[in-house]
Amino acid sequence: MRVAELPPADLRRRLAGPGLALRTGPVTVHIRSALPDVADGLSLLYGDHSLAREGGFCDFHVRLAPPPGLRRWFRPQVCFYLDGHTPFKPLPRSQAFPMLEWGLNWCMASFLNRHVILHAAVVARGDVAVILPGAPGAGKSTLCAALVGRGWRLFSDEMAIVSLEDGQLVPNPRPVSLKNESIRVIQDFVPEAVMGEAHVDTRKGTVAHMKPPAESVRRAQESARARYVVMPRYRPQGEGVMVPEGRAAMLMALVDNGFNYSVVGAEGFRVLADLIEDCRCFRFEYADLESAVAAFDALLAGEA
Amino acid sequence: MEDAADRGWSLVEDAELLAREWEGQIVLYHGGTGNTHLLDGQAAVVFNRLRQGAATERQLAALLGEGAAGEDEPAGLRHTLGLLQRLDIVEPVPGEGCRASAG
Repeated sequence: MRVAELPPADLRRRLAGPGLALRTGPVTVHIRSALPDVADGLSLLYGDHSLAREGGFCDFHVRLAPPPGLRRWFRPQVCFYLDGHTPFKPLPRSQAFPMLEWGLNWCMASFLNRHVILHAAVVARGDVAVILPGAPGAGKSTLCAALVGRGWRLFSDEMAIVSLEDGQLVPNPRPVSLKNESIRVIQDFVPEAVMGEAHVDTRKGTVAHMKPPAESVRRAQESARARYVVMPRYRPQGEGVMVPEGRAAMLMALVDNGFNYSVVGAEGFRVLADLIEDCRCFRFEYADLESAVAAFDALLAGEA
Repeated sequence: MEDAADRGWSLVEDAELLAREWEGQIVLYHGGTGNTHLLDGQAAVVFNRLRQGAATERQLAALLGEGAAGEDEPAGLRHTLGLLQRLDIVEPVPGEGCRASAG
């Protein structure tokens, strides 16, 4: 059963009561919350995701709820609970849905230790997957959203998940997180995109999420081998040219963007080195999304 | 007293060192420290030589085309060895042990 098949009232009732077991990528997350914003965000942005059997195994049990005490009433806040513990400070109640997203990212980056988790987006065309690593603000989510809006498959936005077993990329097509000017840029570039509410004054500025394409969610169990690593950077004067980058330098960039690299140690190094061995590596500065998408299409033109 | 040029160096013995090389650049994972390093230029040449066994500074300087101590000081090599030692990748060993393995 998909989330969208649950009537909104049922979705709210289940979230507020026994909870919802949501399948996303390699994990099943049990979510509980009586906050309407959480139910609305899940309904809008996770509509194509599957629900797991009630009472089955869940990797994470999370809850979004007001903190105890007077803050429940005065400048209301929300806490993210994982197995009853609160790893983060409370946020304003209006940020409940972004907090769920950030909390889920944290859970995966912290506990999926049979995988190497990289700070990167991943998109794919056919069987060819492209990793887009980059520091916050480099423009990788914007580029990812633009590519996905033009028919590329969304593998994952905030993190690349690489299996330690076989080096394959594991899909995790969750909503794409857009910030500040990127929200309007993507709304203009992909007018048909389903966008969630814009949350202002978060620690990242204004944040909104783009719903992942249904086809990407449907293929969430189909892993792929990385064939390209492209490190994007938005530069207003960028020329949209792919500049080849050495494999050694790009492996170092992946290591620098590893969320759990220090945990997976030598095994992680071997897997990332093998991954880079199979990839062509580029740096890419882009100024506008139209030419950026064209450059990516051209990159893969010889792959068919 | 041992001549500086006869001082020996080897890779650290008690740490897992995993290395991959592309186009003369080496990415090295150090199992002891958990750090990953990019070695290029002299550092890559020295590391590759020491993977074959311990070597004296004279042998390493010859490999790099630098003068050994007593001729022109191999300042670049000393700097490189110091850097690799600080990263716990190489360690000094008695120079006598190097000659047989250095070839």
